[in-house]
Amino acid sequence: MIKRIIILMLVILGVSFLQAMVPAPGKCSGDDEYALGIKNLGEYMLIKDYRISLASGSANNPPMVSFPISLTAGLKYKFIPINHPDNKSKLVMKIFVNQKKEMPIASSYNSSSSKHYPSVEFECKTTGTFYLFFFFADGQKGCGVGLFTVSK
Amino acid sequence: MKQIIKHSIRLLSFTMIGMVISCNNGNPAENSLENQLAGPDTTSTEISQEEIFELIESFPTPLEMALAIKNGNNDFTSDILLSTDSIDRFISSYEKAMAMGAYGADMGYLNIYGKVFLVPDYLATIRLLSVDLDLDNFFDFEKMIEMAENSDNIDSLIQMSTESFNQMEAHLRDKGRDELSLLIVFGTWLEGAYVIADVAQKAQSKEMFNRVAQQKDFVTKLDKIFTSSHDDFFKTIAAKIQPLVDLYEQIEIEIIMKESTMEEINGQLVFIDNSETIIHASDDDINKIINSTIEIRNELLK
Repeated sequence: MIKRIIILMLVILGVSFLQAMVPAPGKCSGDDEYALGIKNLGEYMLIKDYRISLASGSANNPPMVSFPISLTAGLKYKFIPINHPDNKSKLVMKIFVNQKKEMPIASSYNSSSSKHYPSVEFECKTTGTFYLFFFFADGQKGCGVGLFTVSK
Repeated sequence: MKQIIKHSIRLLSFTMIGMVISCNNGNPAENSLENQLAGPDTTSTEISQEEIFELIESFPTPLEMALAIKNGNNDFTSDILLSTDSIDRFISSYEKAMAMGAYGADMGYLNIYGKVFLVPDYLATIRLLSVDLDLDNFFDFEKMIEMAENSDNIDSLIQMSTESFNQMEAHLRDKGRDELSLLIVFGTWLEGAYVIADVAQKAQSKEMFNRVAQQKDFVTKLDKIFTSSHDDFFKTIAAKIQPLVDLYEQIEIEIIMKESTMEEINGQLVFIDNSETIIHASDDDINKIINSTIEIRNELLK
């Protein structure tokens, strides 16, 4: 009886340890993705990086996070989503004029062709505050990093 | 024997609790930034964390401000930047935070305009201020000075500076020190607005006058936060920027939002902004704003 309890304990501890090692969405540090993205900035300079981790949801209304960003007229920006290798769907970066998701101005996903792009450029002519949204297509869970960069 | 079983049950309970916590990490609401936004308001100035976070995130970086001026082929002289001598004029932690933001902005201009030989002095000044604010552990000053001395490493220096400031800002937010973050942002903005004002004063061009006018949104946001604070230092800043707020009220900025044009160029998705900004302001009003900006910056930072 005692042996069985001890074995059970060891099994539970083992499972718990293994679970801690798996990069669940909430535990994804994004360090590898960040390092990958930063190496390929080319003519762009980093403004900010966003570490994103989202649980699954419905395809029609996928879980999202958003952040206000400032864009300056006359500058060219690039938004680069970098996915964790375990992601089943791709991270999308989409910019709207306000937090209510009215009037998208740029997106790394073209819904008409269902095509994801490794980055999206935006040539800004209006100085102001915009909102950068992150979500995974089809409402899948996943994690990754978004880079907000500006052209030199 | 009973004790072994008791210990086993305790261990099992801890393991189960650990697993529950581990499972919760997958929830979207557990995103660290979301947590910070949802957290209690711990600032000493009674300004909501959400408002401060929004404000901080909605300000352009010094790099963008410098690039915008440089792309317009405007001349810039480093003589107008803050002196790195006698930084003991900044006494309180609030003044030091403001100064740190301003020197960070100056460093952005120096980097973008290729005046990197001056950067080590600015790094040394930022180092002194960051030590006093207990924020020096976010900067690898030795490495940054080394990069500044080697002109081949400018891109790496800019990236490292950006990363350091971003990490410092995230740390201040984690620790509920939003008032310091806010003052760093204010210092950054004020120094940047001053450089824009100085360049515009010399250029007297439509393009630079528009850049001056476009600071209206930032002045309005700062004024809203500073005037709502009960902190004496914040109230002093609110009083000092009030003349600028009044001047900006005389001008009107009309933004006509239009759908962007999407193009695929060599496999790269490009969106071109088609929105328009119409600025209703007389040259006289803009020149008054320029003078007021320079006066406030010199009073608070010089």
